Amino acid sequence: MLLFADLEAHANAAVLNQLSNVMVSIDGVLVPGVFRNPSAVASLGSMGATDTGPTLTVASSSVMAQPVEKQVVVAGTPYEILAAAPDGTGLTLLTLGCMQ
Amino acid sequence: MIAALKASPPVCNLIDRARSTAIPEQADQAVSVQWENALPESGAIFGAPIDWQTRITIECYARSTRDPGDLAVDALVQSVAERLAQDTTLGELVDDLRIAGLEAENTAEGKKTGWVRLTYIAEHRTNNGTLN
Repeated sequence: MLLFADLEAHANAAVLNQLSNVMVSIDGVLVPGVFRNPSAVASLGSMGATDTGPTLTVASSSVMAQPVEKQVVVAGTPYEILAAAPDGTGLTLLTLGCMQ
Repeated sequence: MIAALKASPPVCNLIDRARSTAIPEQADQAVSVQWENALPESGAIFGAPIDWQTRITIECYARSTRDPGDLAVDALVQSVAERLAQDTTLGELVDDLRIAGLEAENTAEGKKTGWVRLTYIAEHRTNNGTLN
């Protein structure tokens, strides 16, 4: 009998295989991820500051236990993990900060 | 004030008057000087000069990939305050210029950005019946 959890894992793997656009180094292990780096405006003061808002979606199983302030390397560029938001179904959205 | 902040060496590379758009991503430091309001002294003698208190704000932005935003903006705020403290008459344009308040915020998007608004009060005098 196919369990729902197995279906979720299967679907997540398919999503990452189809939508991943980078290979990411997390804790020294290369995993597929969906990296986005859209423009963003930091809401500061009367005018704000244009910036980027990088995020990375990876399999939750590939994320270390205490990810905040740890480092990931996306296509050779290091980023700091600012926040981690597991979706409860096997994928985790990491909010990243630039390190260079 | 803008001329003082831009005097060589400028306190940063991007100094605007009343900037209305977001600080560009390429600018690691920026300053915007904004005239806010002016209040005349009440009870001036008819025909006599009028003393004013004019409020001007200076918004400082600075970002870093290393330091938190509040630390990133510190040096810029210090440079602005020190520069304006060098001549509190702005070349005898005003009687006095003093800091009346500070506000701060910071955030971490792609980079860590700090923001500080310095509020200055300029005391100056105009001829009665004109704003000169």
